[in-house]
Amino acid sequence: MNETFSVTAVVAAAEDGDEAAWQDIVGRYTPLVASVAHGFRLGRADVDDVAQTVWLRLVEHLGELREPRALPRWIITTTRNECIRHFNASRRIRPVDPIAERSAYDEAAAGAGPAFLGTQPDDPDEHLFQVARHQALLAALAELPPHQRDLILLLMEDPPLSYATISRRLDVPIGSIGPTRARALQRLRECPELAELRDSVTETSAKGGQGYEYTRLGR
Amino acid sequence: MSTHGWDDDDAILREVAIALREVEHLAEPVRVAGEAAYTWRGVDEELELASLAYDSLLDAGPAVRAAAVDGGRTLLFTGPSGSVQVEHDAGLVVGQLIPPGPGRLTVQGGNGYHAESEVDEVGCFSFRPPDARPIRLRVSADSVDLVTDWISF
Repeated sequence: MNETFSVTAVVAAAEDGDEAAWQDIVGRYTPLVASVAHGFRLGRADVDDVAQTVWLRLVEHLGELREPRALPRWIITTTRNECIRHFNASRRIRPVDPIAERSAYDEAAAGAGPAFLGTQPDDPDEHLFQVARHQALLAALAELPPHQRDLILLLMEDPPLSYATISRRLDVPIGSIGPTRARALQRLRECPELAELRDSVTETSAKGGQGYEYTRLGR
Repeated sequence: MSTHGWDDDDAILREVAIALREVEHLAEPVRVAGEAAYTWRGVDEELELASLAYDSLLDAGPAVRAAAVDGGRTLLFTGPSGSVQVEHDAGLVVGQLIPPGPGRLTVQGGNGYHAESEVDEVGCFSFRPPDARPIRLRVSADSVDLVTDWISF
């Protein structure tokens, strides 16, 4: 079983014309694109525009994404920028009070989307942190080796599947599921995206600050 | 950071599940758009790519944004040997090619939209953006041949 998954290899294959590699990228990173767009509370039509723009532009820029961390960063930054464009463009058709909307805008620009437009936890810091953590987890999930990612996705099913069912679906021994699950979660926990977030939280906590530094993710 | 469940396997699984479920309703359109995008791979690949270098809509902070609303939107695409600056205002896009030169402009839509117009001898052009988004500009001029990044107007 393949224990490794190389983002750079898949990116290179897609650039060379391997359509299966491209579809693999799309399947893996769709939740991340959707998550960034979700943070901005865009309407369905705007999400369609953002997604099309991000993917079309990615096709043209595959050749520049040879570093291992480059693809998730590129996807987060590009999706966020497209969302900010739509967010700002929607402001063009009605009057704006820059002072009143400043915090929502700043939050969007900082990378979390205008949290105030929906029902959110009372603590905006906690909400921002949660959005950043979800994006980090989805980026990490996208980089798991295929058998680990497939297992995690099956473990997400609601209602939960039995190990016997999972064993049949993935065609693996029941006894291997527990260890594979443990290795996958270990990998998620140690992924660079989450580590960066954890470091930034630890740094700001050490300084006694309440504001987390979210902008590091995706830059 | 045990309060955020960094160390607990079940907590991480739960959080991944929440993150996925939160975007479940958007996953399908995002995936479909991604699958379709690859058909554009290699189209016009002989042309140089002019990447989006500036967009007043993105650059604008709250204060600048008010100006952007009043004065339309400015975009700059730059490539290795040429660039394109465009302004979008009141439903019309007006642009200029640098270095200037006469040629043809093709507006390409991701959905297959296709419209052509003239680039005049000083590199100026104009077009009405289609409802279909995103689009990109393909310029074939005496001075430079290029295709821009995809963009939504």
